[in-house]
Amino acid sequence: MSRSIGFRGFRKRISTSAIVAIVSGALILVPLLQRPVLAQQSWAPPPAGQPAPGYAPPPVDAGRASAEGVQDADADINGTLWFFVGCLGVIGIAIAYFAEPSPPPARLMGKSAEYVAIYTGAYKTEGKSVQGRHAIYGCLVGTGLIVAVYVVFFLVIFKTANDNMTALQ
Amino acid sequence: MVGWWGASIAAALATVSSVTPGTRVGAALALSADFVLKTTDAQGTETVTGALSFIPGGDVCVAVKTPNLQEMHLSVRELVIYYPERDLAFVANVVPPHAPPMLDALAAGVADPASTLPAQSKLLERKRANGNLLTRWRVIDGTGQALGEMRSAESREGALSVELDDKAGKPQRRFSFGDRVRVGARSVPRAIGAEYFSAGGARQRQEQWTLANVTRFDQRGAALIGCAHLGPHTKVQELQW
Repeated sequence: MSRSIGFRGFRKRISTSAIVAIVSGALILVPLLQRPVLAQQSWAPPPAGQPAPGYAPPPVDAGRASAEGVQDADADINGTLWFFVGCLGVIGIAIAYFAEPSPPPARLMGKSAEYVAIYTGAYKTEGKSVQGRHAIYGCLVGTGLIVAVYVVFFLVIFKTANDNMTALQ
Repeated sequence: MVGWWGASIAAALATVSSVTPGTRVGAALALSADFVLKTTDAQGTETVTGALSFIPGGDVCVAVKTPNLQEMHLSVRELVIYYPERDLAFVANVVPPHAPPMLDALAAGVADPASTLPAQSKLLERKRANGNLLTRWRVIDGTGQALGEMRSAESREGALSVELDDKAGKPQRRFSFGDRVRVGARSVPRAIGAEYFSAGGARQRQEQWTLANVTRFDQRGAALIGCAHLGPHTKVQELQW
């Protein structure tokens, strides 16, 4: 009887872990699939209304703004913190993807409008990606540890029950 | 990045900038200054010049003159970046739990270091050396979790340096303040150095602020320079924050 209950609990735990793995996989794949789409988008400055004669917006190196946004986000985001947030499970991963990091305003001082728009977008996209990635690692490691603990627990119970049966015989 | 610092330093600045009943008006932070900001990072060194104002209530207005004409208005709920030549403005709404936008290095120079810590933080050490007060705090957030340490050195005039370390003892931010001048009841550093470190402890970016013509800001007499006043025809774009 107790072995049947234990086996059912084990199956339930395995199915929960499988759901977590599927959701985690989807959350990894969604941003990866979004990247090519984002790469094809171009940020076009709004119509400038009535600019001064001879005035044209200064050229901006979109690649540089984007690269700097990505680089700064990579350096700023605390991966360890988000790893532990991921240990909360799917909720932790969801928090990581919804919490948008913002660049420090000092980094936008004196920059052109185009740079600010591209840099901020790249910073936030990369920041969320880094947060989510670390949270997923945390979730997987946390789930793995829980599964391992349950496996050991049930193996011990199974072995004890087996020993008792052998002793009774 | 030290996530808690952004919110704490903004709150500390709002406190020193507020005019509460019973306190002298002169005690609130209100100043204007010209500035030169030199930033050094992996991309090289950039210099930004302009003027800024700390307004009672905690708002900061920045009028950038070079390399691009720009006005920034930083407040608790909003960040506005305005380009007067194009009559174009980016407006970012700041909603909790996002930290209010703040020029950390400047705010750290005028706020009391201890006031930038979460209330649960614990004093680890306080000693005097060469006439300066050296203090070490364990930073503890609202949930009781230790975030790291803050070390500060203070003279009679104000803070000389502030360093924030993570739990592993790796530096996250380091500020140094010098050449202080009194503005009203406040001591304001005119030379500010700031170093920002990545999560791994590697130095990522360095800022050197130099303030000149530091004067008390008179809201009644002076125009709010750099406060991004949007006109009826200003093109407004939302900036995700």
